[in-house]
Formats: sequence, C-alpha cells, structure tokens
Amino acid sequence: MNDIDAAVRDIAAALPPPGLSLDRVRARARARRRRSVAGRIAALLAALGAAAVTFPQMVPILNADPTPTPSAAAPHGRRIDLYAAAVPADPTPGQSPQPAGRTALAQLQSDGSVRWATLPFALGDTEEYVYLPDGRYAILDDTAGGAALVVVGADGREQLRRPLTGADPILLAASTGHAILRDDSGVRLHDLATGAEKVIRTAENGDLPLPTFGTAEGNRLAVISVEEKQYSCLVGIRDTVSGDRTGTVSAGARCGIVRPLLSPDGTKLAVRGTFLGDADRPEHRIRVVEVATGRILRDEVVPEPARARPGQVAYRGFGWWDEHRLTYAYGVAEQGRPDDVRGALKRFDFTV
Amino acid sequence: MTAETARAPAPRSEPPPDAFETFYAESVDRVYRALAVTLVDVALAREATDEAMTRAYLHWSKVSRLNNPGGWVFRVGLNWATSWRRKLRRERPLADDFPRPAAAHHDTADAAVTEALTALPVQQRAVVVCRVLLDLSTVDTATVLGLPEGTVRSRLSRALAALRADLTRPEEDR
Repeated sequence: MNDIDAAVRDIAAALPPPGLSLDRVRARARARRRRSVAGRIAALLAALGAAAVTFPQMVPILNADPTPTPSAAAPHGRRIDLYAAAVPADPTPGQSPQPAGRTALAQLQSDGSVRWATLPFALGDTEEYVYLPDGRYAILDDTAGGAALVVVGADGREQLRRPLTGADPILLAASTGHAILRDDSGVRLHDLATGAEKVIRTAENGDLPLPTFGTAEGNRLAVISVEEKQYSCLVGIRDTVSGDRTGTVSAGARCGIVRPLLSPDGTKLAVRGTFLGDADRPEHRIRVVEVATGRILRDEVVPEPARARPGQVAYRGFGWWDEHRLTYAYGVAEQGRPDDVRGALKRFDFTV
Repeated sequence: MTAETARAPAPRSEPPPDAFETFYAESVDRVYRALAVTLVDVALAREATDEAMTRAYLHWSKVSRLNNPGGWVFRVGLNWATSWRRKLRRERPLADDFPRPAAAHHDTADAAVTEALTALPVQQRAVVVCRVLLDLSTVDTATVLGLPEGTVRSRLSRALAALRADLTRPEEDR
C-alpha cells in the first residue's frame, strides 16, 4: 500500500491552502448559538422519526444594490422587519452576500409595500440587530475586530457606539432603554444610556443554559432558554429593568419555538415554531397565548418560510402591528435583486 | 439568582490561546485536505471544514473528550458535504455549473492517481483518506465513519484493488 499511500499524500499536499480562519468559525458559532433552538427542534423531530426540518442560515439583509431608500422614523408597530436567509451561489467561503460597507434592511409596511433602510456598515453573518420600539436599531458590530454595541437612528446615523467586554458577545434582545447581551460569562442587561451593566444570569461550568432567542417590548423580554425546556414551549418573561423573571408562559406541548414575540402592550405572546401534531406530524404554527392566563387565543397552521436555492435569498418576517394584529410573511428573491421580494412576498395576517 | 454588578465596559483584550484554538491550529489543515481528497472538491471541502469546526467549537466541552476530535470533525464535515450535495441535486437538475470531480485537482502531483481516486465511490475514498491522511487505525476509522470494522477492511481492500488496477493499466486505456 506504500506506493498508493505516498501518491495520496502527494495529492493532499499539492492542494491549495485552506485559507480558513478561527475568527470565521467563532462568528459562525455565535450565529449558530442564536439558532440553537431550531437545531434542537430538528433533532427532536428526527429522533421521533418525523420529517427532517432544517432552518437555513439567517443573515441580516443583504444587498448593496439597488440603492435602498432610508425610511423615516416610524412608530413601533407600523412595520415589520424582514430577515433574510441567503444561500450562496456556491459553497465557497466569502461568497455570502455581504454588502460593501453597509447593510440594507427590508421593512414590510402595513399597506403591503416594502421599504429599505440602510445601516451605515456591513454586518457579519448574523441577525444581530434589534428594531427598537422607538424606530432605532441596536446592533452588535464585530466587523472591526472587537465587539461594540451600536445604536443607529432610523435615518441610518450612528448615535451610540460602545465597546463590549466579554468573549464572543451576542445581542439577544433590546428595548428602548436596555440591551440584553450574552457572552461566555452569562447574560447581562446593558443600560443604553449609561453603559451600566447588570448580570442577570451567570454561566455554569462553562456551558450556558441561557436564552437563545429573545424579544423585548417596553420593559418586558420574552426569552426561550434551554433550562426552560423549549420542547414544552415554555417562554420566560423577564423585566428588562430589574432582570427578574416575572412569569413563564406555556404555548402548549411538544413544540419547538423559533421566535417568541410579545405584543406591544405585553399582554399577549405570539410564537412561531414547529409543533408535533397527530401521529407526530410536524406542523409549522403560529400560536398566540394570553400572558396572564396562558389561554390560547389563536392557533394557525402556516407554511414554513420558503427556502432559498443557491443564488437566492429567502426573506421572512413575523411581528405585531398593534395589540391585536400580527403578520407573518416570507418570500424569495434572486440575490442582488432584493426588490423582487415585493412581488414574491406571501403574507398571512391574524387578528387576535 | 440575580447577581448584580455595575461595571463600565472596557475594550476587549486578546484572550490567551485556549484548547480549541490549539486544536484548530493543529487540525484545520489536515481535516481540510482529508475532506478535499474525499470529496474531490476543494471549495466544498473548505466550507465543510468551516462548518465542522464551528460545530466542534460549539460542542467543544464534549468533542474535546473524544479520543479523536480531528476524526469527529472530519466525519461531521463529510456528512455535511454529502447532505449539501444531496440538497443541490434535489433542488435543481444536475447542472453544468456544479463542480465537476476532476476540477479540484488540476495542479496535483499525479494526475493518474487523482483520476483513479476520483473514480472510487466516496465511501471508499473516505476509508482511504482516514487510513492514509488521518493516520487512523482500522478500529479508529470504523469509529470515525460509524462503520463496522469488517466494512472498513472490505472497503479499503476494494479501494486499493481498484486503485492498483487503475494505475497498472496502460495509459492509453485510461
């Protein structure tokens, strides 16, 4: 076998260098942690012999052209951000649709139109930005070496930039006054005005049984965490000022939630996720639960967001317009032509 | 439960190299080359290595306790790449722009071996790569690929026989 050994080694040695970096692995890992709930759902469903469910990589939108138009500040509840899941045309690293020096965000308006807002710098392969109730954005920017928490106005201008401590911080959620950050040491509440921080959960044994997704409304934060058994659909509600948990809401049983959303007044919790129905058949559902009582107010089976093929971008959005109306929308557009999403958008409106 | 600290954020300092960093530095090149030879596709191997290393990073507390973390990363990368190819085939007809097997090795030292290796089924190539490039024993190869030892031996034997047959054929027959 020695002759073949040597030949195979020669082939391997003659390959071009990998050109990979640990920084890229860490960035991917950060993005992945945010989606760990989705992965666990897939594993759960696979274990039950159900059809595999995959959740493609999510990135903040995308494209340098056509030139997006910054939208005016809008009161909360009048637009829904559409995130994008992009599939590179080929799997070569560096082919993700990163814009040069800026990021365009799609916003679904209540009249069905799509507007574009521009952030003044390119985001990494994550969706680490949060649309604040006052129309601004809180963003985790780690494109310049160290990580920084940035607040950008609706006009696209940077209002705040604050370096962050801790290894591999993740922006979990934000409200008008606070951002919720997670890193290897735990979860911290960050006061946007003063920069003071409060640890609301510490890491144990190097692992983080901590919130993986969160959305904040007013002074409340809905979080899914590993320790809160996401398979049984439990969502913790936390006060973003004190950091204390004020309640836990169950959205049912045998499900995996990919996104919990509190209504603007904090009285209702909408969740989107995969639920195991009859005969363990996985169903993609939107369910709205009353926070105070746990009563299910609305329960609808909806299609899964469309998946992008190589060279395409899949958009998805889910949000409240006001205390009674919410919308789930998705669509696919060719990479480089984000405006196509207008024609291809599928939209589902619910009244509660 | 709530520990409270008020602290002023400070710029991040460069942390000392950790265990994963050391593992990454030692393994990434070898895993990438093993995947590239197995998949016969350099670009896909890069992405598969990145993906597998990301998963290793996320689960490092468990992966680091394995006998052969590098083998685990190879297996994860191989599975991911196989799945990716399957997905591509399902979502669009086999197109000319899909990387052709031979395209990855234009500049290899031995085109004949490359061609013979490319002609092997990917399962056999994976076994050859584990034994030759990752220096794994039959037992370790079986563990890494999730195969019975007998299957590893038979695949290796078939692969070597095919490679020898291919390489001893007169050039004009190839």
